[in-house]
Amino acid sequence: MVVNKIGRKNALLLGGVLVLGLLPIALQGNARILNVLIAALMWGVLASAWDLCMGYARVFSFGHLAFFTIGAYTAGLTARQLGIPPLAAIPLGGVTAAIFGLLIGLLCLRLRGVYIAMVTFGLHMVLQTVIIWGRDITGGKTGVTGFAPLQIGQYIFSPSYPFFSYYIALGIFILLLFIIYRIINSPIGLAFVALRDSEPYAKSLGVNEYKYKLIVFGISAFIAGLIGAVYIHFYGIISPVTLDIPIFLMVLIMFMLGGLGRFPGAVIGAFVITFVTEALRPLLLWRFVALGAIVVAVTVFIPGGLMSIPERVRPFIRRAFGRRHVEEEVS
Amino acid sequence: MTVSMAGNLLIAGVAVGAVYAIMGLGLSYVYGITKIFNYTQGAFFTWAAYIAWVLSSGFFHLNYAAAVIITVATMFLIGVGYEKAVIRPLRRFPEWQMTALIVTLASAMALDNLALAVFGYAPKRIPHLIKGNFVWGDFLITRHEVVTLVAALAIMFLLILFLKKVREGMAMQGMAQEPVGARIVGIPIDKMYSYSFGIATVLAGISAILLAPKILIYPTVGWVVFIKAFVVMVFGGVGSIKGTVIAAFILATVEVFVTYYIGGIWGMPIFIAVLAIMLIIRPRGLFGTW
Amino acid sequence: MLEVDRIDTYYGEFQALKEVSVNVKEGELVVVFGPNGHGKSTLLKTICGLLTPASGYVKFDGEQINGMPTQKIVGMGMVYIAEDRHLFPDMTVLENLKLGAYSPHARPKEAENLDYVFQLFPRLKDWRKRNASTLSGGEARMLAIGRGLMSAARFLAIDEPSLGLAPMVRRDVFRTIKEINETGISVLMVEQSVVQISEMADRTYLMEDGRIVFEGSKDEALKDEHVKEVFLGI
Repeated sequence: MVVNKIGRKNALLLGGVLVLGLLPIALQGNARILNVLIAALMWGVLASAWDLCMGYARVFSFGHLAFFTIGAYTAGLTARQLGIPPLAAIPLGGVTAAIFGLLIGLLCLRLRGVYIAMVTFGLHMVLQTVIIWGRDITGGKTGVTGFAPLQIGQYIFSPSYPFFSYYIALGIFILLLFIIYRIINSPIGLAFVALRDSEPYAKSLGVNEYKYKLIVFGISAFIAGLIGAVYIHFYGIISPVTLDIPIFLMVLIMFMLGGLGRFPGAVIGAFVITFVTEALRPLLLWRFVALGAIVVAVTVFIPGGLMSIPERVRPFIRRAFGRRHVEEEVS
Repeated sequence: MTVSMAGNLLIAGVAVGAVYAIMGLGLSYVYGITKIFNYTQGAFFTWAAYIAWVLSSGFFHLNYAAAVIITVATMFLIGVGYEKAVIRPLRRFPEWQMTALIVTLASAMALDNLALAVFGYAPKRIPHLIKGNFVWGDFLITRHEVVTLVAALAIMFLLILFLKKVREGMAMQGMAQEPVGARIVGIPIDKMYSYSFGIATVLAGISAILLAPKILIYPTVGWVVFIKAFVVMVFGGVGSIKGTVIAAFILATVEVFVTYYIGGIWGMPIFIAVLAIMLIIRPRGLFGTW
Repeated sequence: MLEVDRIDTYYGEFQALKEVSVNVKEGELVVVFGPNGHGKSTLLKTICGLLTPASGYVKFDGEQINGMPTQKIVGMGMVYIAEDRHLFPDMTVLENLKLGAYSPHARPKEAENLDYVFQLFPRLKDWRKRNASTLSGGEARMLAIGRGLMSAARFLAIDEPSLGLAPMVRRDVFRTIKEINETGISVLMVEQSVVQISEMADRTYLMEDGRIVFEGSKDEALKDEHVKEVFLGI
């Protein structure tokens, strides 16, 4: 029965990947939709990495957009100033973000939730200031362009080559999501789930909790930085706009909507939010009012996120059919 | 640095600190009683400033005292209404505090952008409560700053009195200390949630009326104040009225000096750096009780 | 006075109470026994409105109270005295007692009830300025019961009053509960072991695995083979 369940979940995930793989063909290369999909894939990775931290390890991080931006700037600036090729610059972005993540984690992971949020948000604010202040290197508010693009032959990873770029983005997406998936199902990840669901387990985990949190925090910072580097290579510009509060809220809302700590809820949330935001574009100024209102409405009706719907419906069904169901399980 | 210069900066710092204190008390109040970290506090600040503007110089040209009173009353209704409409439905579900976080964030975003859509980018200005200055030799303090200071101290005093001596206030404190115990003795939880939001929103409104005349009103103005108030709350120790007020004065004074000597852009990072150091040395803040 | 009829209560998907029926008549002292973790606390929490049963009903004075918020139930004269006490830790003993009389119907009788509580537990009077968090287990238990009495309740639902207390203190607490009961206040009490307090109970229930498996007088309980097996190991 249990094995069956895991099998079914994997099948669903594989099915999801297959659908994502076939989408461009189904869309006949529609450039506009493909570009939105690419954005959704990248946000999906960031939201999942963030969720790994907040939903599983229960580290209340508000610093992931900062890690994303650190990765972006590291990759962009090294590529531009030192002429490092994108294939090396992108991982470098991830590594730098991970180093920052570990340093911040060492400082604050022993603190209580709200305080971790504050310290990590502090990083966010300081970063914004440093970028604007260090204009000579970072380009200030306007940002930096003109670094070598990610290129294979004549194809460039950019909005002008949506079909090609989509598959590159999808490849990166699958790779990073697979890492996240493996962590969630590793002993560490399972320990965190046990910790979340039951207090006694938390105590048995004991001393290692801090170490595990630090590891997960570092890895998720790495993934956030890596996808930040990918992101700026796609758009060809780095700017402190990625630190703006609406974007911060958007990513946070993605995994909250999908379901905190419910892989792959963050990805679903990312797709929904990216498309809703895109669809609301004609509303101009009213766009974020509408987005905010939708999110409030949705979460009021389905707190726990989209991924919690099946769990929530199950007990009702069980109760409605009462004993019969229980007997079935026994036999 | 001359003595008078330092003195004037100190005065300015104390007056700004008073506003952060009031705002921080609002945050701390809701967090203590409901355990919700309320992101809308900043948006409520923004809206209070706009409401005051609409009532006074913007549209209705009411007598300013009347405008202030109406603004404060409206803020209470907004706070209570917000809790009833948005927070209360969440409370039926497990892990609702996490959900409340996203909902208040999303509400803040909606309210900020609503302000942008309604009032546009052009900054607005509201008048000082009282015009004029007090001058002693080289020292100068505006009457508005005096009012701000008095208001902050009065609010702190009233809040402590309310929580210690008034039955409803004690009930709220009971909820903060032991939510299940509060239910057992028959405290109406729903009502207390609404009232605590109402009170916190009023505090946001008062801070807006006091601070907005010195800065311009724009759609995201509340965020800046909100973040600083949050730092103040954590720095002083969550749940401690005294700590919040002292932290507000310290941080605001530091901020005023830094802004003057190094530049405005460093105000916020310094704020956060001071906080980070504090958290490493003493994570529960100056007077935190946990 | 209290009628609990076939209630089912769930924690998420876990069913903690299975068709539980219990009743308490005016002035009675009824005890529900049972091993730990078998739903006794859940029963009391469901009765006083902290939990809502999925099916069945709870009636108090003939009025259905399941689904009512706790403050209304307290207002009707029923109060829950929790096993883990739930006192207000950073308030003084006196403030705790005053908040016990929060319910509007209890306010006019606040002074009178305070005298009664201080008469029952003279030591609380001496400690009225002390913080609740500084009290020992037995003292905190007294305060919890005192706070319950402050609500002018006619019905006490008491959760394991003996938990964590020394045998001497335990006897005092039981004696006080009996004293309170003799003034006409009905009591529904939950305890792990039948043996110690069998003499004070009017009627008893045995609860196992979320079900009531035995109901009868204290004498019947002590004679029942199953009860003996569970509690006396014979």
